[in-house]
Amino acid sequence: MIINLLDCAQFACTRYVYIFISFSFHVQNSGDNSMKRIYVILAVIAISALVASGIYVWQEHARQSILLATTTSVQDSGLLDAILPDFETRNGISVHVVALGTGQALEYGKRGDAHCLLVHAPALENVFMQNGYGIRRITLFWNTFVLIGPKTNPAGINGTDNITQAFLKIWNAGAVFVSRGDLSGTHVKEMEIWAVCGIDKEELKERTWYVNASAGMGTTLQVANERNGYTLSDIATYLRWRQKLTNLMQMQIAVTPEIRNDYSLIITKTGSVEKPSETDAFWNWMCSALTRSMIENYTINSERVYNVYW
Amino acid sequence: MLDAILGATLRSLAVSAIATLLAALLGIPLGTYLGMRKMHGRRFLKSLIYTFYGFPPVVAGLLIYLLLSSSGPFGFMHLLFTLPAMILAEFLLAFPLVLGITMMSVSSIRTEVRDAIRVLGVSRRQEVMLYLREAKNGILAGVMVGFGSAISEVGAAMMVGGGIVGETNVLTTDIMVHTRMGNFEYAIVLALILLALCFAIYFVLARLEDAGDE
Repeated sequence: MIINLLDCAQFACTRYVYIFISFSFHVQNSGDNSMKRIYVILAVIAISALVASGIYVWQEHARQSILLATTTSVQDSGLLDAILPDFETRNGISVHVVALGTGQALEYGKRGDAHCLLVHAPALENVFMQNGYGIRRITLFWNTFVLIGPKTNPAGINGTDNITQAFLKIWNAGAVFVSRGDLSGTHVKEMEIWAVCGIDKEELKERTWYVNASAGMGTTLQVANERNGYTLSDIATYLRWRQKLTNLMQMQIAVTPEIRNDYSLIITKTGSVEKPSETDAFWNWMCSALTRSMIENYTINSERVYNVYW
Repeated sequence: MLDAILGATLRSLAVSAIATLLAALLGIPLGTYLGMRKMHGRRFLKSLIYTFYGFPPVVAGLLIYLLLSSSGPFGFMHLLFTLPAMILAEFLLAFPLVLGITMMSVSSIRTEVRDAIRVLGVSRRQEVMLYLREAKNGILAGVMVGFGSAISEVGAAMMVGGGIVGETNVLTTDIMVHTRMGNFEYAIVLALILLALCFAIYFVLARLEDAGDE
């Protein structure tokens, strides 16, 4: 049976190739302009039919959905999988989630490829809004950044330190520090803390103990685990990975506003132009008390990870 | 969960199969044509095609992303983050392989065989058929390599597909995402499925390779 099918396929292939080639030879050798014209016309018809059907199908398809660009930390925390089905059943609009670094997500928003953004780099977001790429922005919830470090704690960080003091201890001890280095929200935060410490970015890069992982949070945590280094992480990703990070632990440091990790929802200009009603519905739903309490009650390994601004 | 695995598997299969099919539909005739003819600048053309054997998937991804992005030239088609965009990217990777290997195997048919075919005085149609029969296994190898590059690829698939769950996630992008999340078990299951799938497909193709030799 299979062999028969394959024989047929083989026959069809040879016929196809023969027709194609003989046509090419014919067009080339005959010098017959009418043949050439027919060939060109056929090609144009075929291509435009393809393009037209493609446009039609995908515009129809795109009508009932919005594209949400978010950060890997949000997607990897599993939050969206837990809450989005509620929005989709209520409004009949599906949300397509693309997970990127915050820098990349904002860039996609600028280029008009995303309708909504859920990101966590306030400084970059402000620039984004000022340049008119975003129509509306609201800071919805937050969690804390945590300092992760080796169980041996070579820099001697203890619970009385705040994050700046802890970073200074790492600097003075020359202990291994693994940086995301990917312009993600976490990386931007890390750079801000070094700046508050008064440590120059360029000077930092020259230190051999400063490792640039240029990777996502999970990978960066693994690098820190392998190299016995410190790293800054969002709490959600750390909780997911904790069991696999045998050399690391969460450093006890004082909770100050600096380690607050604010997540904001942005409706992009493209979103409000292309999908006004859909993005409106999404905005209202995200801001509703019900959604906020769903976010507040979301747990990883039975620990709450997000605090909501009410 | 079974649904998710099945979906990703089917999408993997569909994207790479359609991309390979398109690459074969264009690459085999064109490759045969180029392989049969002796013409000026063939060496240059050959080197050009071979260069694209090593076309980095992320470059293909970046190219398709910039073309299909809303602010790109084809943004009006709204194809970014859809399966057709992924097919396009995989096609870009598979096409040079199919084209180049077909061309190589047709042009490397021995001179005696070529002379014999010419001496037979057959029609153009029969000539093409004879060339194809001679080069069959080489052409098949081209298609297999093209398919392999399409199904195993992750960079471009992620960049232009976005890995949207239930829409554009395929086996390779799922493996990457779940590895990032620390779900190694799930990633391993997907990896085994991918390998089994490739084995099944190549098993059938290998039979095709043997079929004509008896």
